Amino acid sequence: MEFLTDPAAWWIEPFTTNLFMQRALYAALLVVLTTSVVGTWVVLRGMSFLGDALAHGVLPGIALAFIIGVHTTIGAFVAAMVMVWGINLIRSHSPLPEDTSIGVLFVGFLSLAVAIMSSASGAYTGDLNRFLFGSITGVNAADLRQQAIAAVISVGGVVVFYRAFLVMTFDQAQAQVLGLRPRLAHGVLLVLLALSIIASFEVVGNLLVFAFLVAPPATAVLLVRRVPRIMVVAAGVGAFSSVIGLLISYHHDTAAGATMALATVVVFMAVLTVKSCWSAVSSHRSKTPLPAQA
Amino acid sequence: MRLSRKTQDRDLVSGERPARRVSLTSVSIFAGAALIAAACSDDSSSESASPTTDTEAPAIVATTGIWADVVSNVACDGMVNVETLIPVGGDPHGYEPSLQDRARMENAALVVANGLNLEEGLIDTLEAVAESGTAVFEFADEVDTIPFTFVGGHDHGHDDDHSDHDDHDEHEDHDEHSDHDDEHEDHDEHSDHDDHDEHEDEHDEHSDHDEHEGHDHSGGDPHVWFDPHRVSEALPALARVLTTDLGLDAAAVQACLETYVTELEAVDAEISSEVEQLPAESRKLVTNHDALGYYADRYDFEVIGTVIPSPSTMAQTNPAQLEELAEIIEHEGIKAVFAETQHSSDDVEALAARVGDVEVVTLYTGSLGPAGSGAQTYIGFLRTNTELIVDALA
Repeated sequence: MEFLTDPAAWWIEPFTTNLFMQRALYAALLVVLTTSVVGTWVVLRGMSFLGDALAHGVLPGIALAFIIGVHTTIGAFVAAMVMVWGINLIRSHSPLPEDTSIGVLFVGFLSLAVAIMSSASGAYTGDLNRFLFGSITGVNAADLRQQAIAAVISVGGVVVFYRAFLVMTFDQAQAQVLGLRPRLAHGVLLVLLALSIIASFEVVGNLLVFAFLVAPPATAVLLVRRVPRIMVVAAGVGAFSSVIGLLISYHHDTAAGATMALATVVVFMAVLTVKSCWSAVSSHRSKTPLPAQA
Repeated sequence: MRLSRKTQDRDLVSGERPARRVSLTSVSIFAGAALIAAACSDDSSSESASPTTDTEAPAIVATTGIWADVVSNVACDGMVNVETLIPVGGDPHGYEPSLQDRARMENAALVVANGLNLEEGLIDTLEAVAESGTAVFEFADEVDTIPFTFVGGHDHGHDDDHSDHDDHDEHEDHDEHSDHDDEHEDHDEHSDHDDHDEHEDEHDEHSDHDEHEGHDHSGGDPHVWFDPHRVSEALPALARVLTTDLGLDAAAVQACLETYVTELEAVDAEISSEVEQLPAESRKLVTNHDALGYYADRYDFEVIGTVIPSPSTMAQTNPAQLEELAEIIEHEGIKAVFAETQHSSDDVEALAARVGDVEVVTLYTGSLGPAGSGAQTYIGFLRTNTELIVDALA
């Protein structure tokens, strides 16, 4: 219970006494900013499955880039774009629902990555492991710079395309009428999504980045209604969760990336619990004077 | 009738909703409790594991228990406090560090790692630790490394003669790495691994190792601790770091070093003589992953196949390669295949079941054994493994 009995030592000191904890914190906050503004649209538009698929779909690109010696970020980006293109292709050439086309390519890309890595078994798999789980214990200045750039692009992109995203999310037809080019906006959103996933690798790795993309915005949706507020609250919730995750990993010796991802989910469940208890109490109270509308 | 159905419906609705809410609530409470439990539990253990237990002796963090044991023997009699990151039985290939691990490394006077990407989850972390100014000693940097001995289950076509190895003792005289090829001149195919290319016609994708090398360090097999001779060759470099960077007493370290090198040489000789009880044609290893390359190199075994066609446990086998391996085992009349404590033995068991008359023996590979296993020290680890191997193949 040290986090209650000696709050300064539990909450503050790790960050003031360790440069690597500060770096981990900055990296986490930049990732949270990036994933929150993009993840809000992922949650609102019901694109969670696509987000998860993209998080894994970049792997074959990384594997190939790793083998032919290109920068892995480029490989990841190309793979993400190919996956999006493939999903649209399947959707337009088959009567299947979108989640099926996503699912087929999700598993296809993931297994392709493993197959590529196994065929190059002269190469050590250490670098693939780095992408799967990230390495927030090994963040350096160059990583932070890269994440800052990604955060600026994501926030900037969301601000510039805010109206287009908003109308596209809530009223496709009106977006067309208003000349907001929903297809372009959708494309921009997918690019931002791929960017935020790739930028987050270093911190949590692509097996767990999805937690940051979905859990904080989902928590925010439980708490507030207007979209800008959702983004702000999501960033706050994400920041809180990642600080908790960092501190638990620091004090209690648990794997860093996984603890942070777990914290985002636990915070979501906790908020949901409090909220549903609260609404149960308040609806019970409001039920007594008024007959139920059903 | 209508009315009753209506009340039934309402009962159903009112009965269902709270139930659903309760289950959802209990799930979230469970999750919340898990977080609180994580935050409240093992306070004591985290205190005992905190970086400074003895303010006098400098703290050294070693990634694996094997290196921790070696280090505490070179800086013997409690000259240093050695901590191990990866717990006993943990797989060094798959270990993911916590931020507490990072703090331990940051606060240590020296971090000792294997290197050559053995600790796959620690690659960036080790780099960052070195960048932050902590001395990092990697054993693989100090030894004469060999390439991955083996990729895939293909037959090397060895029917060479290992019988004239009575001159084994001469190994000890050769401290220089450069002499390495000479001492093995009578069995070139083991020391000169370049000739693997000849066998890789049907494995084109494996032959272009050079493309991957230089990406990180220089490539090569990281499992150097399987050769105690190589390890003892690396120890003077470790002793130098201990005396110059940590300021330990040079004479004391030198004394520890000499004692330990003598012990390692004794074990080396002991293993050699035990292995010589095996007829040359029995000295064939089939292992779970490619971990025993150095052991084979030192004691004239031949690794004829690995279940996971990789120097890492983080890879997978495939049925064709298992089948090929099974055929080789049958053809060569091999008595035992080797699983490892740190990794699932399912694939090895499946292979043994496919072949039929083959024993599965579990070796200690990436981790020391638990207390009482006989393999809880590095020397015990070497002895135990040798006993297991010799008994299984005799």
